[in-house]
Amino acid sequence: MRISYEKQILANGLEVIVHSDRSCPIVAVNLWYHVGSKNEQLGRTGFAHLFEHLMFEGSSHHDRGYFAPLQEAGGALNGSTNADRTNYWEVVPTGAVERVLWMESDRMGFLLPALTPEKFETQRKVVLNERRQNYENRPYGMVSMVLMPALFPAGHPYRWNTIGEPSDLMAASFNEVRQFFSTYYHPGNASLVLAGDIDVVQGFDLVERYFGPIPKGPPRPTVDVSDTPVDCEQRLLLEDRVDLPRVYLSWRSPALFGKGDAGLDLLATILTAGKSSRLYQRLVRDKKLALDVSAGQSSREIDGIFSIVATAVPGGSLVEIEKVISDELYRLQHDGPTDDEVERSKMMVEADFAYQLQGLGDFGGRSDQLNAYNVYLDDPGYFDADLARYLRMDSASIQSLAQSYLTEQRRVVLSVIPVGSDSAIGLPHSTRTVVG
Amino acid sequence: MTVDRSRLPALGPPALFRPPQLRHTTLTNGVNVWTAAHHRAPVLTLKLLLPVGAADDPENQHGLAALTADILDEGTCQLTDVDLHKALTRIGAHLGLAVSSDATTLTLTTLAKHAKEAIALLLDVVTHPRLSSDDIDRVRDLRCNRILQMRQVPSAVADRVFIKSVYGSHPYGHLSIGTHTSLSEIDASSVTEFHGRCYQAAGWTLVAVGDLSHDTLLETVQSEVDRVIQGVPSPPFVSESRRQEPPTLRKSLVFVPRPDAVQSEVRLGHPGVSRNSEDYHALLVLNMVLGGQFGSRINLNLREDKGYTYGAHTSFDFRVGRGPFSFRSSVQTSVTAAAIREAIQEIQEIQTTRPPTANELRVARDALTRGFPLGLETASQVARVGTTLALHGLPVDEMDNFVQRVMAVDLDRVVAAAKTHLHPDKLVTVVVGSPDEVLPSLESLGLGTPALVE
Repeated sequence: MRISYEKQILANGLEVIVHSDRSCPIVAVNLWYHVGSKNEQLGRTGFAHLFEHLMFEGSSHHDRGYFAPLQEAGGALNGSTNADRTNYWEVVPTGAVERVLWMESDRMGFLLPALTPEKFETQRKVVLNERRQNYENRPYGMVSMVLMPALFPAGHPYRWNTIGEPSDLMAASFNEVRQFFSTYYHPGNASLVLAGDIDVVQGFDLVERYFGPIPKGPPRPTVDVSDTPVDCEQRLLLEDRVDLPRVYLSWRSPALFGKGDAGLDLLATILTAGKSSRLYQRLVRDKKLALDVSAGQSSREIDGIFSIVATAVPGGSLVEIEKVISDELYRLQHDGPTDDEVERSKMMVEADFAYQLQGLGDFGGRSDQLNAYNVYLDDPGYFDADLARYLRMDSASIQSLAQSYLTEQRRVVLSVIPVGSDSAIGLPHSTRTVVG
Repeated sequence: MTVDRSRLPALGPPALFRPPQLRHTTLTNGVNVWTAAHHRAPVLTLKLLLPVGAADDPENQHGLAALTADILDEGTCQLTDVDLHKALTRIGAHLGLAVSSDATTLTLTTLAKHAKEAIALLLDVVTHPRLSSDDIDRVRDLRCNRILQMRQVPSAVADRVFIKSVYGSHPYGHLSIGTHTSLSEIDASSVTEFHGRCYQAAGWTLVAVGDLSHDTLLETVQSEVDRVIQGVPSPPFVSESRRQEPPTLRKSLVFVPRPDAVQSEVRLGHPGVSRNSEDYHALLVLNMVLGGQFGSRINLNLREDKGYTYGAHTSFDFRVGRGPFSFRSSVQTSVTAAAIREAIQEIQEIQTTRPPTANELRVARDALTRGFPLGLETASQVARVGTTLALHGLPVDEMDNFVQRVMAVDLDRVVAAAKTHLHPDKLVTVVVGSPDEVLPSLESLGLGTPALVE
C-alpha cells in the first residue's frame, strides 16, 4: 500500500509530514513528543503521563478545556503516553484544521502561564482514579507491576510502568512541571503529521505559520540504560482477586524494528492467533486445560518483551499448561514452524497492514504510523520496508529466533492465583511477590 | 502573516459531504444485499446481519443465541474447524461473531482480491455449520468459565446486575452470554433446534463494502448466495417480543458487595426508547449535552471539576425495542455517594431548572453534524451503518438526511425530549463496591433500602 507524503523540518527543529488523501473531507493531525516514561527519574514515575493530562487543561490564549472548541467543530481527539513517546491527535472536518493547529501550537508554545496548582491537583486525582480503574480494581491488573521489574534490572528505564507508582505521583510537585515542559515539550523534540483532505503546500504553510515562531528547546537528555539482564530463570507468584489462575511466560526480546522483531511477531501469530494456531489447538481445544491463550512480541524503542499468557479452566493445572507451552516451544526450536504456518502468518501481517492503514487518524492510523516511522527510524515512508522485514522471514529464521530468545534460563514465569488459595496452585518453586 | 492569538480561528463552513451510497437489492431467496464501493484501501468488509439475538433466548436458556453463534466457526459440513481457520488465515481474514440483544452479526474483513472466497466462507459458516455435540459442549463450557472469570470484573458485574434490575424478565433483562445456570440448561439439541428455527436465510442482510465496484460486489455476492442457499426459502424468522413494554420501575438501589474495592462501579438508568422513536435525533442532541462526550455536563462535573473518576458518561442505547438509558462511571470509593448525588442532580436539572441552553444546543448539533464524516471514513464504518439501518428497517438513504434532521432539533424539542424520556424519579442505581466504606454513606441519598445482590 502506497502512502504518499512529504517531509520538511522547520528552523526550530519541528519535523512536519503531510500526507494528502482527499477521499473524505476530514484531516487527521497527529503530534508526537519524543518523551515517555523511560525519560522519568526514579521517585517520579508516572510523571510523563500525568503531564499529558495537563496538556488538555488549557494554555495562555485559550485557558479553558481543550475539548470544547474541537468537539463543537465535530472533531475527535485524544492523547496517550507510553514508555517511549507521548502522542496527541485530532481528527476534524476540513474546515477546522486551522483551529487545531492554533490550539496545538498554543499548548506547545504557551502552556505554563495557564497551569495552576489547582489544575495539577485535580488531574493528579484523575490519574490516580485511572490507575484504580485500569490496574488496581481489574483482575490481573497488577501483573505488569511484577513482570517489568523482573525483566528489567535496576537502572533500566522499562523497569517501571507508565502509569507510575501512587507514592511517586503523590510526591510530584507542581514546580516540577515547568522543568519537564521546557526539557521535552518544544519543537525540536516533536514530530507533526497532517493527513487527509489537505493540500501539501497549504499544509506546510499552515504549520510554519502556527509553529514556526515557537523557539527551539535544548537537546533531549539521553536516557541512561545500565543493563545486566538476569541470566537465570525467575519464578514468581502473585495473589490477585481472580477466580481462575493464570500463567505468564515472558522474555526480553529485540527492540522495535530490531533484528528478530518481525520474526518473533510471526512466531506469536503462529502460536496463538486464531483457532488454527498451535497453542489454541492444544491448550484450549484438545486438552481443555486453558480458557484462553495469547502471545505477543511487544517491542519498544530500546528493548522488547515476548510473552505467552494462558488462563486455566477451573481445575486446569498451571503445571500442565506450562508443560504444553514449553513442549510446543521445544518443537519449534527443533523443527521450526511449517512452511504453511509461516505463509499464513505472513498473509495475516500483510492484511493487517491494510486494515490498520484504512483510517487517517486515531491511534495506529496512517498519521500515527507516519510519526512512528519518522520518530523511531527517521523514515516516514518505511511502510514497504516494514512489510518486507516480515516477508523475508522463513521457517529457519523463525526457528533460530525461538532458539536464541525463548530459552528457559532467560524467562520469567509468573503464576497468578486467587487470593487465599494454596500456593501449590501456582507453579512450584515460585517466589511470592506483593505489589502496592 | 502572524497568528492572532486573541481568539480561536473561526470554523470553515461545514463540508459538503455526501455519505458513501449504499444500494439495496433483495435476492429471490429473500436475502437482502447492501453494497457500497469504497476505494480508500484494498480492503473488503462483509457484515451479515441475522435478526435473531439474545432477546430471543428461551426463558430458561439465556445465552443460547450467543452460544449458537459461537459454534458457527467450529467447522462446517465441508471443512473441519482447523481447515476452516486455515482457509481464513490464508486470505488474511478476521471473522468476528457478535450477538447483541437484537441481532447476530458476523463480520469478515479481508483483502478485496479475496472477495469471492471470503463470501463463500462466510455463507458456509452460517448455513452449514457442523454443530457437533462435542463442540457444543466444549464451547458451552468455555463460556461458563468466561462467566466465572467475569465475576471479578466489576464493570461486567455492574452491567449484568443493572440490566436485570431495569428489565427483570423482559427479553432485554439479561446479557447475551447468559448465566452459569442458564447455560447449563443448554445441550447440543437446543443449539441445533435454535439454529434450525432462527437461522432462516430470508430476512438476512449481507452488507459488502470495499475496494470493488458496486456491480462487482453485487454480482459476486449474488452468485455465492445463489450457490450456497438453494431450495424454496422458508419464511423469515420474526420475533416481536422485544417490543413489549419494559416493566414500570420505582426508584431503587441495588448493591453488589466487593470488599475493599478501591473504586465503585456505578450505573444509573431506566428503559429508554427504540431507534424508531420520533425523538431519536433530539435525544442524540440531548445526550451530547448531558453525558455523551468529554465536554458534557456530567464528565466536566465529575472528572474535570471534582476529580472523582477517570470518566463519566451517559447513553441512550437505541434498540429495536426500548433499550436502556444509562449513566456509567467508576468512581473513587470514598466519594461514591457524592458522585451518585451529582449524577442524579445533573439528570434532574437538565429537565427542570437547567435545561440545555442555546449555546449548548448549538455545540451539540455542530458536534454531531460537522463530525458526521468522521463516522463514515472507512469501509468497516460504512458497513456498520448498513447493518444498523437494516436492523431497524430504515431506508438506504437515511444517512443523507442525518444532518438536516439534527439541525432541525430546536430548544423546544430537546427540552421536551428531556422531560419525556428522562425519569430521575424512576432511576435504578447499581453500585459494585466496598460494603464497609460505601453502604453507610448511601443512606443519605434517599434511594431506599439497598437490595444486596451477589
